Parts: sequence; C-alpha cells; structure tokens
Amino acid sequence: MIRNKQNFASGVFFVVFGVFCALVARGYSLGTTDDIGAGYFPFWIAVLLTVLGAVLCVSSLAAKAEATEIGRLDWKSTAWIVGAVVLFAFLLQYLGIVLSVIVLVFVSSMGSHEFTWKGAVGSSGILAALVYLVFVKGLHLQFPAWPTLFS
Amino acid sequence: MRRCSQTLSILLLLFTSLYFSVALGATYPDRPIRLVVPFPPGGGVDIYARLVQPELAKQLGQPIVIENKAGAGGMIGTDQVAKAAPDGYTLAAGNIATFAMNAGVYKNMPYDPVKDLTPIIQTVMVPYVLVVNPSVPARSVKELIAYAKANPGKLMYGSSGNGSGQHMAAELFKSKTGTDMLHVPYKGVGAMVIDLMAGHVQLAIADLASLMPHVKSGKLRALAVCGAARSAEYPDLPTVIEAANLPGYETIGWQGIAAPAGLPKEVIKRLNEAFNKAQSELSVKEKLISTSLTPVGGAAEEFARYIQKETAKWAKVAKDINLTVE
Amino acid sequence: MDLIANLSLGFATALSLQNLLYAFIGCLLGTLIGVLPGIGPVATIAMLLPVTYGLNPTTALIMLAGIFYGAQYGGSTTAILVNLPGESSSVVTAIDGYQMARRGKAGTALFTAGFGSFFAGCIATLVLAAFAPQLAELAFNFGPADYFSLMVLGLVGAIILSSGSILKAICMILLGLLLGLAGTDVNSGLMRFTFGIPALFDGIDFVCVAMGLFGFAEVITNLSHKDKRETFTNKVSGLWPSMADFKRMLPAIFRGTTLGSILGILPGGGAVLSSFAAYTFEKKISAHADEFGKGAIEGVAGPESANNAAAQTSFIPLLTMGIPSNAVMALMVGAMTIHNIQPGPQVMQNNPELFWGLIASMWVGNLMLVILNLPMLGVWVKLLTIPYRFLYPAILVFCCIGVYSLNSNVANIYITAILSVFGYVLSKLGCEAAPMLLGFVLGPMMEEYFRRALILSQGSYATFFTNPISLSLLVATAILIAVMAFPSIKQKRQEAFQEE
Repeated sequence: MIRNKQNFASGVFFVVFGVFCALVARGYSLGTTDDIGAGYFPFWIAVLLTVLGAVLCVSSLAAKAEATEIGRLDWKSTAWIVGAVVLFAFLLQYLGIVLSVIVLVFVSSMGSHEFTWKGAVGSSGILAALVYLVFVKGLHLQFPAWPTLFS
Repeated sequence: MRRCSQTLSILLLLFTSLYFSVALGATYPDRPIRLVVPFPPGGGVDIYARLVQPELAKQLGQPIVIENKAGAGGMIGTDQVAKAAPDGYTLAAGNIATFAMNAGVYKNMPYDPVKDLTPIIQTVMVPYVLVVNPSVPARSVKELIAYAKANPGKLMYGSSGNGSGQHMAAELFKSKTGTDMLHVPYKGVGAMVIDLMAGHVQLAIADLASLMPHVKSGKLRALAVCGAARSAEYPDLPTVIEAANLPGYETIGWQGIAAPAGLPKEVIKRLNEAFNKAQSELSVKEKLISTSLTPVGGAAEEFARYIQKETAKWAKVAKDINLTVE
Repeated sequence: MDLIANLSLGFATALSLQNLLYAFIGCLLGTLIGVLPGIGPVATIAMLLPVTYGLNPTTALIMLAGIFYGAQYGGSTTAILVNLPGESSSVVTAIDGYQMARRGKAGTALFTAGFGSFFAGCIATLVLAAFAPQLAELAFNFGPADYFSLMVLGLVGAIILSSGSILKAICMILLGLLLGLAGTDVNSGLMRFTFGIPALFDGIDFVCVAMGLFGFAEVITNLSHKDKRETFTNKVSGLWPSMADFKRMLPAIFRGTTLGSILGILPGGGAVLSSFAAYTFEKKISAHADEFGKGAIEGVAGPESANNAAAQTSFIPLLTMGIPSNAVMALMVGAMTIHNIQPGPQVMQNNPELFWGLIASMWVGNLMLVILNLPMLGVWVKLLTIPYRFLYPAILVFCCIGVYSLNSNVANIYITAILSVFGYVLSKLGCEAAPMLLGFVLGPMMEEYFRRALILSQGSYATFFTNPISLSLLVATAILIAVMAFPSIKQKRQEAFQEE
C-alpha cells in the first residue's frame, strides 16, 4: 500500500527523468579530470536525481510515511489554457499580433466556467487595442502587427 | 521537340528574371528593410548595425529594422537570412565567424556561407591584440615563445568560447610557433578579461577594444597586434609577424553584410553604395573608430573574394589543429 | 573629505535639469518594462541606444542606468500581484509576495518591496561611492573554484526556499540543474539535450521557465478551483503597513541590503544569488519561520532589498574596471565607448563628473522610483479586484508577448506552454518550483566554473579545498547542512508541513 501518493508519484517522475537524462548524457564524452567532458556534469546530476527519486519512492511506502492523496488533475482547464497559447504561437506568424491576441483571449476565456460571450468580446477588444498601443506603437517590438497579406 | 521546349523555358526564365531585376532595381527599396543581427544586443555586430542604421535609412529612403536573432554562434539568425527571399528586404549583419570561420569548425553547418549568401560589403575590421598578465616574464612576443617552450603546457590562454575567433587565433599562434598552451574557454570576452587580469589565465588574443583599457591601466601587458600592419591607434605595438618573424600570422576580425543568394545585381549595387556612403559619413565614421571598429567598405566583389579566402584559410587551420564542433 | 567633495560634484551633475529629466524618463520607462513580464531592460536599452547618441555621455548613462534599476523595481510588482517573476531576482519575491497578495495584503507587500528597494538603493549607493575601488579588488580574489563553492552554498540554501519535504526540494534543484544544461556546451561547443531542435540550441530561456512554472501553472491551478467563485481575493485590506509590519520589515531590509551589497560585486552570478541568499537567511533566523511561503513580510523585505542593493553594486566592476557583469552592463560599456569614453579604471580620474554624477543619480533615481510608485500602489491593488475571468487572459497575453520578444521566436511560446503543464503537474505532486528555478539559473554557471577550476588546477580536486575562499564557503555549506539536519528545526519544518 502506498501511503504517501504524492511523494511516490514525484519519485517515479524523478527516476524516469533522471534515467532518461543519464542515458542521453552517456552519449556525450565524460572526459578526464583535467578536461571534464560535456557529459560528466549532466550524467552525475542525473544519476543523483535517479537515486534520490528512488529513495523518495521507497520512503513513501514506509508504514509511518505521512498519507497524502494526489488531487485530481484538471485536464480541461489545462487544455483550454495550453491550447489557447499554442494556437496563439501558431497564428502569430500568419495573422499578426492584433488578431492573434483576440484569438488567445477568446479561447483562453472559454476555460473559465464563468465564460460569457459579451465579456470575452469586450476583454479581447480592449487587450488587442492595449497590445497594439503598448507593444507595436509604444515599444516598437519586432513582430508583425497585421496579417502579412495586408501589408 | 523536347530540346526546343527546354530552350524556351530557359529563355522564359531568363526574361522573367531580367524583367524582375529591372523592375526591382527601378523601385527598390519601396518598403522597410530587415537587418538581422544574429547576436544579442550590445555585441560588436549589433553596435555596428545600430551605428549605421539612421544614416543607412537616409541613404535608402526606407526604415531599417534591426532584428536580434541570437543563437548558436550567430548561425540561427544567419541561416534564416540565407533561406529568405533574395529580394533585398532581408539582410544579415555578420562577422568572421558567421561568414567564414564557422564553416570550418562546425560539423553541421545549416548554411554554406559561400553558396547560400550574397556578399554585399565588408564593413569594418576588428583588430586583435596579444596580451599577457604582467606575472608572465615576457616583454616581447619572442620572449613569450621562449617562455612557453621552456614551460610546455603551463601557460593557459583564455578565449570567448570554443571555436570562436579568439580561440582560432590562439591555436594558429600555437601551431605556427610550436608552443603548447592550454585553452580555457569562457562565455564571452568579459568574463575572460576578469580572469586574465586576476592571473587565473595568463594570456589571450582578443579584440583591441576589450583589452586596451586594461593595458593602459597596467593590469595587462600588450605584446603585439595580430594584423598584417600596425594599428593606427597604437603605433608603438609591433605586429606578431615582425616581432617574432612569423610570416603569414595574420588574424584580424571583420564584419560584413550579406543577403540571401541570388540577389539581383542592381540591388547589390544599390545596397553596397548605401552602406559605403552611410559608414563614411563623418559622424558615423568617428563613432565606429571610437569603438575600435576600423571602417573598410569597398565593392561587393571584393568582399566575396575575401570571404572565399577567409573560409578556406580557417577551414585549413581548423583541420590542421583538428578542431570540430558538433 | 574627498568623499564629500566627490559626492557634491556628483549631485551638482545629477541635479541639473537635463539630467533630472532623463533620470526620470529612464526610471519611468524602466518601471513600465519591468512591469511587463518578459520584456527586459536589455532589449529596451539596446533599442534606446541610438537615441542617446545625441545626448552627452553622462546624461545618456544616467538614463540607461535608470532603465536598469527601474526595471528591477517594476519586476517585483508583477511577481507580487500575479506570481509572474520577470527576472531571476524577483523569483523569491514571488514566493511570499504573491501569498501576501492572495491574503489581501498586496498593498503592504508592494509597499515593503518599494521601501526596501529604496532603502537598499540609498545604502548601496553610499557603499559604491565610498568603497568602489577597494571592493573592485574583491572580484579579482574570486577564482573559478571559489565561484563553484559559492554556487554549492547557494543551492544548498535553496533547499530552505521550499516549505515541504527536503528530499523533494533537492530533487527539484537537480531537475532545474539538468534543464539549465540544455543547449550549447560552453567548453566543447557540443549541443546537449537539444534533440536537433534549433530553438533549444542556446538553451531554454529563464523567462520561459519562470512564466511556465509560475505564471501559467498558477493560472491553470486557479481555474481548476471550480467550486469557488473565480475572484482573486475577496478583501483588500489597507495599503499601508501597520506598526507591527514595520517592526518586522526593517531589520530584514537592513540584512538584505548588506547581503546584496556584498554579493552584487561578484560578476559571475553574485547578483542572482543575493535575493535567494537573503530569503534563506531571513527564514533561518526568523521567529515566524512557519509563516514563510504563506506570506511572511520578511520574505519580501529581505530579498527585495538584497536584489536592489546588488543591482547598484553590480556597477562597481563596470565603473572601476570597465568589466560588464551582465548583459545590461555590457550595453552600458557599448554606450560609453560610443561616447568616446574608455570604460575602465581611468574613468574615475578622467571623467569624475560622469562617475560621481552617475552614482548620485542612482540615489536621485531611487527617490524618484518611490515617488513614482507610491501613488501607483492603489492602482495596482485595484487591478486585483478585476474578476479573474478577465484578469487571466490578460496575464496570458502579456506572458506570451514577453516570451516571444526574447528573440522574436514563437518556439519560446511552445516551450513555455510545455513547461506550464510540467509545472501544473509538479505542483499537484507537492513539488515547489522556486528551488528548481534557482537550480536552473545556477546549473550552467556551476558547471562552467567546475570545469574551468579543474582545467586550471590540471585535474586536481584539491583546488576546492586549498583555496581559502572556496574552503570557507564549503565549510559554511557544511554548517548549513548540519543546521538543516538538526532535529528541532526538522521538527518545526514537519509541523509546518502538516498544517497544510
């Protein structure tokens, strides 16, 4: 029976990540002590992470380990937020900053359970205008403001 | 029949390209020009670009937009330009590394500096100087070589990174003089200079601008400049060639401007003239010189030949000293 | 006395109408870009460099310096309000500052940050004026081995940043170290952990990690609390700190200033470490150790004073030796050379009005920042009463733009998105992001110094123990570990953990 589920899961994660990094780092030269190779530092850090991750796993099984549960992951909110951000990144090159911001605000707003069309239209409009004024007009940042077809 | 259509298509292609080049030449430039600086703000290439920007915009009658696209020793930004449309609206500012040296050092170079780029102009030279920490008992290049030979593997030199111009310049020095010194790479010249002054490393070959202030304050000792001729600013310093009788030891950093391959001749000419004029404008020239960037200028063809010569030279050095970076 | 004569020359220069005006513009601009997450002072200064050509060099430098410390100041605002540390120095501020904001004490937190910065700025400026040449020598005494040991001490200290399990905190630090190593290896030029993705060739940018792990992950966490109404905080209590707050804040500010002033002088990572060190220190000595991580006022006061003091003293290597200790300073060198001033030891003799004028203007600038920001406190706090459903899309927009503008590359946005999922899952597992961020920042530097130390010592590990500075830092590390393992403190930590 796993008592400390949080620690067990994070331990597993650290072990997996550590083993992966150690394997990749094995592909780089370890070098000699007077000229340490590119693989030396990452390899030993990864090994250390793996070992400590394993210790974390084992200790979470102990009878007197503190009992924790992992809260339910809210994949829906995650998907809305991450999806909106990825969509923004993709659209930026084609639509320019102003339209992409509107899309970003709109899509990410849908992740809220208090979403209203009116609110989303309003806030996307205000933010797009703000972004245009601050970043394009004010700071002259280097990105396309409008779809490339228009310019 | 087949041959006929082939000829026809070639002719057609010729005509269209001629048409376009004429059309381009007549109206170019009619929109803002992007000048990609493949390094972070504040470096030598960036400073050059920002110094000529206003005057260049005046010459071309269009805004010049400087974009810093740093990464992988300048190769990420330069590669983007190499793969952009050859219309004269995307230019790369670069230096000895991005236009020549990297090709010999990096195994997986994303672009070929000779084939994938159209050279526009060699803009400035960046003279290198050989300095030692005062703890090194050598007052001339000859004494330094003698000292290094007497203490093989004891002297350590710093550079601004593996495969950098400074690294290559020092390696060339080692191979020409048959000395054995250890390389200690740093992330940029600033960190290296601190350790050089503190004596953690004993010598370095780097650009005049970064080192001479410390030579003046007595924290470092300059032995020689590394160009073919003495520096106008410091005429007392001999060249390595004359000081140690090392013919062919010429290492000098430089910068230039290039565009994607296949740029129409008219556009090359227009850009070359604009850069030449912009950087010989008195106020710009003075500022370049004060930052230890020696204006060069000249025709695009000269720069093309220079790039070929330098690429070959450094590829050979890299091969001789067996230096590759993956 | 020389100092007084010099300072009066400095003030005469700094208080000229033109210099005052440009100091003000610099501070204002700096605050603005500091508040925008991801838009750093480097890009802004680079952009403004051509504008300064027409100014006289002293004025130009005063303005650029204003942008630099203005940005430091503005950065803490977003860290406190919405958990978005735009710079490594404000990561620590976000830990307790954001918790204070959530408990309705955003005004107090912002005031503390502002007041701490001002105090630290004033003191550090005096330190700079009085001891700059002597302090400059300190940097020379630090060799690669010493820096490595300093980083080790810093990382061990980072364990204290976390309020949960020590073991998990160590794992998170190691995770951060590994993430930080991705990119081109300085020594060999080899691309590590890049898997052929060009966007990773130069490593992952700090801003991406901070925005992903702190900003985005926090947004996701907040959204997933469906049972609660999505408002940020229901009560916003008084803007001004109480007498009790002051009593707790002042000693912390004083200690932070001292730590920051000293560490800021070290060019390789000293300034980064200062705010972390201050936090660790405060948490260790505080009578309210259990409050840390939940909105302890010392957790804001100490680090904020430290990072501002470090920002001022990081000018020492630049002004006395012409050595830039970070990217902003490198740009200042550029600005000086363009104006025909060779940065270096001779600046103090050849251009005394520039040297002392700049120092005096820092004091003036700090005062301006306080005056500029105090009236803004109310506005910032009001911002938090905006319903969260309007607030979080705005956070996303500013983060995305900031991340993109790092090098005009959309790949940075994708990286941030991936890291945000990472951060959300880790927070669900009770793993805290702050130690990981410190590992991320220090990892590459640590490896660099480690390898350089061994090249210089020709492979002898003894270099870390024969060097007096390195040795004493390692001894300090050992003491710190002993203190952490000490039962009574361990018990206290566990109590704190169980309360959650």
